[in-house]
Amino acid sequence: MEKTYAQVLWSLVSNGSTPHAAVSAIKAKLQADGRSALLPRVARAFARLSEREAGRNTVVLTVAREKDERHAKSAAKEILAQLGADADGLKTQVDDSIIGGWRLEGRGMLVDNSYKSTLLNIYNQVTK
Amino acid sequence: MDSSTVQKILKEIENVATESHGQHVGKVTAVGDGVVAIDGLSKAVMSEVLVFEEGKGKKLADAMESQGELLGLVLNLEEDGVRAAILGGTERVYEGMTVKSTGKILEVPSGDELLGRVVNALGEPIDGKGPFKNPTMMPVEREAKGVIQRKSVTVPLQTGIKAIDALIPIGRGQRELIIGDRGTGKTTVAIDAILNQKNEPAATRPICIYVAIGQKESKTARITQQLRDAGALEYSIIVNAPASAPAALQYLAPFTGVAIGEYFMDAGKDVLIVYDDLSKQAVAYREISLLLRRPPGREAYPGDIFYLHSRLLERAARLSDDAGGGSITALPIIETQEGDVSGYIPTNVISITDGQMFLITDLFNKGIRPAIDVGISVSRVGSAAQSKAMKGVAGGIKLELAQFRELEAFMQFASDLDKETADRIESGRRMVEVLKQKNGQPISVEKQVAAIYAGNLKFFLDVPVNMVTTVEKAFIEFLDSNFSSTLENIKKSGQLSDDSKKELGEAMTNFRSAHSEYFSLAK
Repeated sequence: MEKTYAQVLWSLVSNGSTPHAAVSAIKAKLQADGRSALLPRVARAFARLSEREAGRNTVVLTVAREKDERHAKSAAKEILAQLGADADGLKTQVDDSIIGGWRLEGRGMLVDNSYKSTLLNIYNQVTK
Repeated sequence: MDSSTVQKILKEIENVATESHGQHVGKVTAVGDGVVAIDGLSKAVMSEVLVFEEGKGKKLADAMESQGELLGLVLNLEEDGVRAAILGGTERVYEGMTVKSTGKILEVPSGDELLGRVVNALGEPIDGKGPFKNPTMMPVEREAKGVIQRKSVTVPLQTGIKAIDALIPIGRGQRELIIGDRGTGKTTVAIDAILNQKNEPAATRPICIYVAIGQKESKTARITQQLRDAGALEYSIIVNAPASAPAALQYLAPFTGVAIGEYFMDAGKDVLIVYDDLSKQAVAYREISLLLRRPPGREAYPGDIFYLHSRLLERAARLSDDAGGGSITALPIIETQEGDVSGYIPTNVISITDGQMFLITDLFNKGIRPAIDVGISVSRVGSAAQSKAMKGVAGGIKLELAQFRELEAFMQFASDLDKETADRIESGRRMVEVLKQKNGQPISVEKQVAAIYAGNLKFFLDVPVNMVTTVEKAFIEFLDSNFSSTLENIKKSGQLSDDSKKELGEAMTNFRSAHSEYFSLAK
């Protein structure tokens, strides 16, 4: 129930309503239905929803070493353009378990150009 | 290894790595009881296979140690994500895990190299004999063949069981339900049918697929050994989704079995598939559906439980010559509770199939085995596939047995009965004995014809009831050694000609004079 109210709140704000107007509208509706107690739960659901939306839009570039970042960003330029993201807005993280190469994840897509993934694929094919 | 070689290898890997393409991914938001909620995957399609990325954050060596790819199957498409069944261990999935879309519908391996093998519900070998080298991949979900591609059922599928081949005949391409309480011999009937295919010529012998759903591993191991000992495993494939397997795999197993069978049917071969049993599959599907929060219906089964079984059983077919002429004969098994055939799942499957054989606990306990109640068992299309010889001798049995059942209640007043009624009862009792058969001992059709023909001519009327089975067996052995040409003629022509009848009459006379000790009731 609270999830639906949170989604309505999200779409109201996305469609141009001010946060104050959107919250007032939801509050008035809840009061009219005698469900004012639901408001704190709607707030929590809204926080979860916004967190998820933010997670969906974040693009993370993973490299094995810090010095690989520049090379990885230039290699992933085309893919970033397809995702509608730019290299400056990227969140970069270092994970030495990928051994080498890079891995780009975000906006529902994954491009894995890491050495680990390649080696794992070779291993799986050989041992299948 | 020197450092330049290491650098060269890394360069090579880098070159391979840049060839990879983007994949649609989602994140696990909730896991529980074999079902997972995934956020994202907006381009996923129904029944698509997903791959859980287990290696993320793990060192290469640790990632290599994981037990193969963990797959998921999309079952619900929702507004902001999907719900999928985990085709493996739920404990391997955690919240926040990345799930990759594959864009593929689930496929299983099939081909000649599966013969004699035991596979799981994903078609992976589980018998320790190694992987398949060059299998053909078949889709687990495929639309059943249409009307134009089919033809009528006309070729018999001999089960080697007298009561079935004579009274409830099965044709190639038919779906005949085996239904009964637990412990009434349902599996035995199906396994005997598989064993009997050994008597068929290799060219026309059906490929047999036994699908074990929710069964004990020990039972499946016993059946595998039984088939191996009888030399029947070489033309059989076993698909095993044991009781310990996740519900998703138990739900998938019958579809895996039929997908494997379709490879052979498309190649023009005949296939016999046993689903043991569909009640357990329905229970597994109910479990998944409830976890997927689909609305429950009658007995908490989902609304599409009928469609689950109809789309499975519709894939059994006999193809037209243009389509290759292959066939899939299905023997689904349903377990009833306390003999209640009016339950939801039994009535559904009864209405889908082309006939059903009821196995009754009372008959089983009376020692009548197979415990088939021939009075209420039917085969709607099988008679068109019955050989003329069998049709000729079996015609009157059903009526005779029905009359016997009516009169059976009066047996306790035997001394007060008129002669005609008493004779009918005695004859009926002996016919019931003739139709008895031990498990694992299927009989070829020509011998069945001979035994039933003898029964029709009241050959066993002078034999004590408890001796009929022994005498019948001895008579068949007598025919085998002294009248083999007669049996061969019946087998080849499929008919019981006047000459064959004459020879069988002669055989009966000879047997009677050679074994007069059996006919102690003769006046």
